[in-house]
Amino acid sequence: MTTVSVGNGSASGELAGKDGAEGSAPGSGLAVQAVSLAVDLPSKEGKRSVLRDVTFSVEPGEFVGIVGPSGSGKTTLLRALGGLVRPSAGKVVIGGLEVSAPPDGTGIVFQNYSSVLLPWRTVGRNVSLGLEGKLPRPEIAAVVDEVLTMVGLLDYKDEYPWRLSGGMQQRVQIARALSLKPQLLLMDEPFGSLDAMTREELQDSLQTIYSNLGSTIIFVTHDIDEVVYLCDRVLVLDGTPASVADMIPVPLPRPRDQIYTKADATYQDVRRAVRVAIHSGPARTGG
Amino acid sequence: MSRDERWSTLLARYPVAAGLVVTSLLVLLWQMSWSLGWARPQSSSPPSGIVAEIADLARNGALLQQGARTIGVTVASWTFAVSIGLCLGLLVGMSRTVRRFTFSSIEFMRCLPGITFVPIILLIVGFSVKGELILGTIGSIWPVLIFTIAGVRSVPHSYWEMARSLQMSRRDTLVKVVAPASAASAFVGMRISLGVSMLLVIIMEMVGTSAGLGGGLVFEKGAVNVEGMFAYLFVIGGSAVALNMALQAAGKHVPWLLRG
Repeated sequence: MTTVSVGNGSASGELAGKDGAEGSAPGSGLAVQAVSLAVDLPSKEGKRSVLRDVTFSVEPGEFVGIVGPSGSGKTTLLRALGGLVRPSAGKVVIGGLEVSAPPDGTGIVFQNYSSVLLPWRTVGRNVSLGLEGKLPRPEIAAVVDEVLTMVGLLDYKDEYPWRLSGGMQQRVQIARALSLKPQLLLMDEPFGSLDAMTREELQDSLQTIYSNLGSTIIFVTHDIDEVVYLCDRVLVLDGTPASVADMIPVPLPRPRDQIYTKADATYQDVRRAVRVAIHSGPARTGG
Repeated sequence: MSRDERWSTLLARYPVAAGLVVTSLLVLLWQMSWSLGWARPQSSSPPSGIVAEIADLARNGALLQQGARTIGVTVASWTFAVSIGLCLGLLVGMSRTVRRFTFSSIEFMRCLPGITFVPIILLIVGFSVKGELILGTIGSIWPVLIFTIAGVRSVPHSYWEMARSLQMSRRDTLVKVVAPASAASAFVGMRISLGVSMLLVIIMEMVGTSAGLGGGLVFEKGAVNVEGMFAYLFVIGGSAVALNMALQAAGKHVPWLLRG
């Protein structure tokens, strides 16, 4: 009954109507297209070209990973998709609309969780930040409880984020992104600064959330295992300025399992293919 | 536990008491110098005499009335200054255009010693509570303004991006993210402003209105009452410390000043 309209500008129709904690039906994600996308960023020597002629498209509900050597512009690409960086040429189209600001129905999860959680707000009030003023209070409370349950942190609602471990803080940030009922989730190395065990735990949580939510996810990482384990397709960025070096499908069934999936021969093949793609790109200067 | 450890635990538990050790020793030395006749500087007075004088002034009600006046005017002008400084600081901090156009004026004003306004205020409004309020306000706007601007400008870039990604309105971003994130810096400015405000109000009392604690101090000087002058000096010092402590205590209840 609660069609949560946190801004809705998608041409593909209404936001996910959701019933209870199960989330919306799969297939309600947004389509994403990058068309001849180029991004220049300011640097000491004037403008530096980071991305050049990046073209790809992501189907609604697809889980796509972006990998590349460090400094290859992965984060810049994600920021351009999220409307946080203006392209210098080309365009990003999300849900049929050209992106010029953070698009409706899109949640962004940043790498550095501690610098995007407000220390003077409790976990619950950090999560509600994007809903305040847009929904009536009781509804906000319900959504906060729902998304905190999804990330397993309902008991920590009244705790301050800096009292939590890194993994838990990142869960808070994910919950906040989920509170917007995103049809597209943009994640920038969300598990990059977590230890290996916590990282696997969060990867599996994300899998569950993905299968319940059915939204599109674009996931930046520098971890080849992570990208193969989580994604349907892997976009490899390479070059200076970077462009799409390869797009590798991951034909592994879901749900995936940390032990059995990773032992699978297909997994190993895809992993090798991604590894090769990253290193066979054009010669790069600089790191 | 060794003796050293016991001492450091004790000092850590009572930091104020520890800080008072040196002061108490100095006062004791001062008193002994008088009582034992080591030195009795002419324009001075022993602590016991000053305490008696304070008690005297307190008993006839003068001190309470003067203290209330000085603190009242100080707090009032500080409140004006803080209201103006915080609003202006947020505005200047958030808008590059406003910053560009106001930068040199603010730089000039904040460097100008507030006391130079005294003759101008005398000429325009005369010596009155109004004049004290105006000087106290003008002089103490700058610390809170400068520190608020600095606070806004040091709001992490990630907070702005987070607010944008959550599609927060400009107003919500200001009220829920930027203002709280700059609060710690602004609070430092507020504390400095409180001192400046008191300084200027007392100057006005001393050179102009002859009221309040500043007026009392100048009166005692006119009467060549050394003990009275010292009495006012310590009462003014005590009031300043009390105001500062009250503000700090209030700050402990502001969640925005909370840092993980």
